[in-house]
Amino acid sequence: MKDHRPPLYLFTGIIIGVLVGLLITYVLLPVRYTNTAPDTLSAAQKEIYRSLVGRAYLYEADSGRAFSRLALLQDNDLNTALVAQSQQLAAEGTDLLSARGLALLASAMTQPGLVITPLIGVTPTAAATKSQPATRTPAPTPTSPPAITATTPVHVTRTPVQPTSTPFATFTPRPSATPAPTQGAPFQLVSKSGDCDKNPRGALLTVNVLDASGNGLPGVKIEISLPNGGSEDFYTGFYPEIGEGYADYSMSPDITYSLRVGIGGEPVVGLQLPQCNGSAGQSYTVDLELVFQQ
Amino acid sequence: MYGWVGAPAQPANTTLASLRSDYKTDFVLMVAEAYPKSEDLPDAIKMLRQINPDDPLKAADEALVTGQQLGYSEADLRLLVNLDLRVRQYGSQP
Repeated sequence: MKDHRPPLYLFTGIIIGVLVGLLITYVLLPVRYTNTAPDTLSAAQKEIYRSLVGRAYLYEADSGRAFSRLALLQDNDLNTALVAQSQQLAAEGTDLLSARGLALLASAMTQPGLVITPLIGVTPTAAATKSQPATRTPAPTPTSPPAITATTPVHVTRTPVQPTSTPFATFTPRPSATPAPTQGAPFQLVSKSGDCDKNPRGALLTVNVLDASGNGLPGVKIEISLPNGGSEDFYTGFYPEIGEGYADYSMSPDITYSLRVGIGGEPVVGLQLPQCNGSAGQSYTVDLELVFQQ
Repeated sequence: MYGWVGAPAQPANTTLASLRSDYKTDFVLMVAEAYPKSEDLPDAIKMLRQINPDDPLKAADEALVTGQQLGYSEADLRLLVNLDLRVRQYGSQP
């Protein structure tokens, strides 16, 4: 009599084969990407990259170079990414320089003409020759190595690195969910004042943004309404010598503004330059000072 | 065949150590720009370890060579040399 049972040894072989395959691909010879571009970095690695761009921007004050580097990350909303990371770093207090640099870069996005004063770095080594003008090397482009732009090459051996178009990869790891940055509690107006004895005929709106502990927060977006119905953004952190959470805006007299601090903050309406009366009866405006706190 | 030709896998969630050499070089240049002071050196080395976890000095060396090959400006090469020297000195300290 013939036996019609299925050959179980075949299934056993398949199962063993799959297990051996998984062992090889995940443990013994896991995929290793090489020659990748910055836009493929993980979220955590992109944050490191971004913070370094911000910090370098503080020392070099080269917004063109900073933005070409940031463009390599191909963020969907660069401004939001910069502001969120700046606020996160400022809240953590671990890397305030990067936080400030990122806040300034976010500001530079909305104010393209913005020029900052670079921080003073270190004096170059004896190899440096001060008489030669400094030329900048552009950041690499996503598809090709940087163009050769040296005006005075130092032992340049012109053998450009060949770009590798397709990284050697056998599978794509599952993307991990990126937690959204914590925005913190909304900012609330805690003080609104105008000192008649200070800066007569002043026309500045000064804003101080503090965290829950009373420390200034750089990189916080402030949205102010414009008379023509539009709005304009500015950011804290421009004047660290005054305060980390300080920002100001030039107001026009006789115009009423409204303002919102941070994401999700309640709008403050009816803002006008305070009017004061002098001893001779003349009236003048002074700066309007607002303090917001989480 | 489909996996290799039709829809080859795209890299994702990669690390800074896997970047192409010109991107790595620009990263090291950023480190040189961002940590110009001597007291910053431990942090700079920490950043270089993102490129080469085992040997940060090698990351600085390779960036210098690649920077020369790519024709980096003299100012940038100077920054890279400076960083390389400082990392080297730091590594030779007892």
